[in-house]
Amino acid sequence: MASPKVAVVGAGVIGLSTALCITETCPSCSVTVLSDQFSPNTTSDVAAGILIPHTYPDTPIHRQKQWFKETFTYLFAISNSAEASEAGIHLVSGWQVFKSTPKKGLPFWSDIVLGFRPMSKAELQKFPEHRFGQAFTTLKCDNPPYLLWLEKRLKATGAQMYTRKVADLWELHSEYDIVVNCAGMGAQQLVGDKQLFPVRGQVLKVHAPWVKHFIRDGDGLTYIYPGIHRVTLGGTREKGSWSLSPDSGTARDIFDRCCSLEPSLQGAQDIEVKVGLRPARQCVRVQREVLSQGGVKLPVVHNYGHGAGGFSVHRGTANEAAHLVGECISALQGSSSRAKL
Amino acid sequence: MRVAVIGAGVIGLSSALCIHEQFHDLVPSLELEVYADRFTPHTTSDGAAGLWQPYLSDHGNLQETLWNKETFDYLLGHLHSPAAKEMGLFLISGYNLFTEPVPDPSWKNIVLGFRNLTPKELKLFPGYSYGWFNTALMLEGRIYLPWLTNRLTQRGVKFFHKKVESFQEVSGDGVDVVLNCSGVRAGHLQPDPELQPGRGQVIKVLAPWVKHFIITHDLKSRIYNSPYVIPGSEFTVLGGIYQHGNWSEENSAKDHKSIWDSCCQLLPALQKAKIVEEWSGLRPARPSVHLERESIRLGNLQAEVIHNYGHGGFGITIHWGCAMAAARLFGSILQEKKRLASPPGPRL
Repeated sequence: MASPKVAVVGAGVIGLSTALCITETCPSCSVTVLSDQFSPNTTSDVAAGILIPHTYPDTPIHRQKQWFKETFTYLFAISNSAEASEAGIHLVSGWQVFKSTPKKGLPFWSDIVLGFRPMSKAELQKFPEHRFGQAFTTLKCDNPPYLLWLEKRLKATGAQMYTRKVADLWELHSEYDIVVNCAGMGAQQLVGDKQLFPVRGQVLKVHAPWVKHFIRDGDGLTYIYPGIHRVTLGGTREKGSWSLSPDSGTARDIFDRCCSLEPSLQGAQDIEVKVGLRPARQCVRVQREVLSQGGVKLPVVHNYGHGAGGFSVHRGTANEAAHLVGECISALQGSSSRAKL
Repeated sequence: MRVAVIGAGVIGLSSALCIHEQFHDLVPSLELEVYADRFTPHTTSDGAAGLWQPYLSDHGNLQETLWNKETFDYLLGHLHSPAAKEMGLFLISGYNLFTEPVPDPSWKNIVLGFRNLTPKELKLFPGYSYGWFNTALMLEGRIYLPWLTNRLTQRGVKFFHKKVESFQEVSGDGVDVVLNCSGVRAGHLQPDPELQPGRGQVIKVLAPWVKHFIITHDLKSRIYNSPYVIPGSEFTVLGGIYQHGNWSEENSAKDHKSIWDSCCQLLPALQKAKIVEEWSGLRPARPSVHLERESIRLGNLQAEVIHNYGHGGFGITIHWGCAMAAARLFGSILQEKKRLASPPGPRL
């Protein structure tokens, strides 16, 4: 197969990074990204993009750790280069604070982020309602800049991008050899995955440029993530809610919770409310499949279900998905040479 | 009781505020006047990035370490107040980088979360093999000085735009105390060979992705003669110039290139930063801060002068401790003049 034609469905951080990885591991592939939404209208655009992993209950920890490590290493190199500001990648330090001391020991990612250590008593004085905390330095991907940078890198490889709502993967079988499903929440309809469910997240994006640290409550519900131009204040985790409409009562509640962590936010300006549906799943689906219909086969690689942790593991899962695409190509080449016999 | 304050940088304004806050109720006749040839945004304090960080070594000057601590604790106490934003006050973390191991600084327990850098962190800074990470405070001069000015104006303190040439000029006419906060030009009022300009130059850029301060150190050279990057609330300050004895306030192209090249090497991401402004200023350098009382004979009058100048590159870092010390000196002057101790009662 001289130039395998690969379609990537989805243009959020997963679709774009997977497409990019495919162009890197398979330079002879022709890659096309198809999505009904592109930045700034994807779920990824709502997310703060901070690299603090979400733990998937059913994915082995060593695999999650590997994904996070690859993502962190990849972004770390970009943050330290001249491209950092265009790519929207920057280091940020801060604190994760707990109202009650967590039972489990160190998080699996504590040796991947920088300078991880327990907070001192003096540091905890800033958080009178919290009894324990961890300080560390991690990375943040600002969006839309990071997504636009991925798009730019993709275009430079010759990859194509089209706005198109794919209702059924079989739509693509005549034009493409392999389909990569990075449809996020859209995978529920696209492949009928009932294990996938939305977790609604509402955030505020505000102007508060004096906030230089992230602050996250260990319960994961309240967080402050400073980006390049805006600070993301969150949030909510509403399982099963499909509503994309901002709720003003929720906005008020988020603001109040964040102000109690960081009182100076009272002076925040230009408050913008955004909503995204995290594509949640007990484990991220990074998997090869061959669909079959009336004697026709369609190789599919799935890469979706990253829930609250998409940015933290995106490059790792993209690498794995690209590797699976490579396997699909080998299988196709194997079967086509068999067909020639 | 009239008090003339000479100088409207961070030292002059904060000393004035400290004295007024402490003594206005006790001395209802207290009148403060601030005289300066330069006001914000044209003072030395306005050009400083505003990072709270003393020099690496206190040279055994425990008093200055205590003033630094007093300032840090005072500011930390205001961090959660509604005034913090209007003061230009916020927390900031960052890196101090060295090419060899160094002893911990006198201020390691004053700042928050002080620790050594890990090997992975040092990978960020090729050429540096040792360093510290800590959380400190930013107090931006160009925001703090207007805030101080507003507080003083609200209290009825008067401001006079005037180049004061001598203590005599302000001390006649019923002025009881002169607060000499004249910074680098204090030598014009009274010779002080120990006071020298420590010329600095900075480039202000737009680089809002930089969230940490980075201060490098070249132990063979003086402090601040090695690149540093300090992000403010709006601009990021790039610097690394300290020229002892240089009185020039003109921006130097050579210094610009040195700052730009060395900071971009330190943080490659800065290459894309937009340059907004260039500024030169003169740090009022002195082996130690001149903070003491002096009685000066001017003609047949005796004036009490409180000197408070010579804070080098750590004026913002030490300002409140010094203001409190100046206020204590003022208090002792009041006691001597029996202003504090006079009991209320009928006048004869």
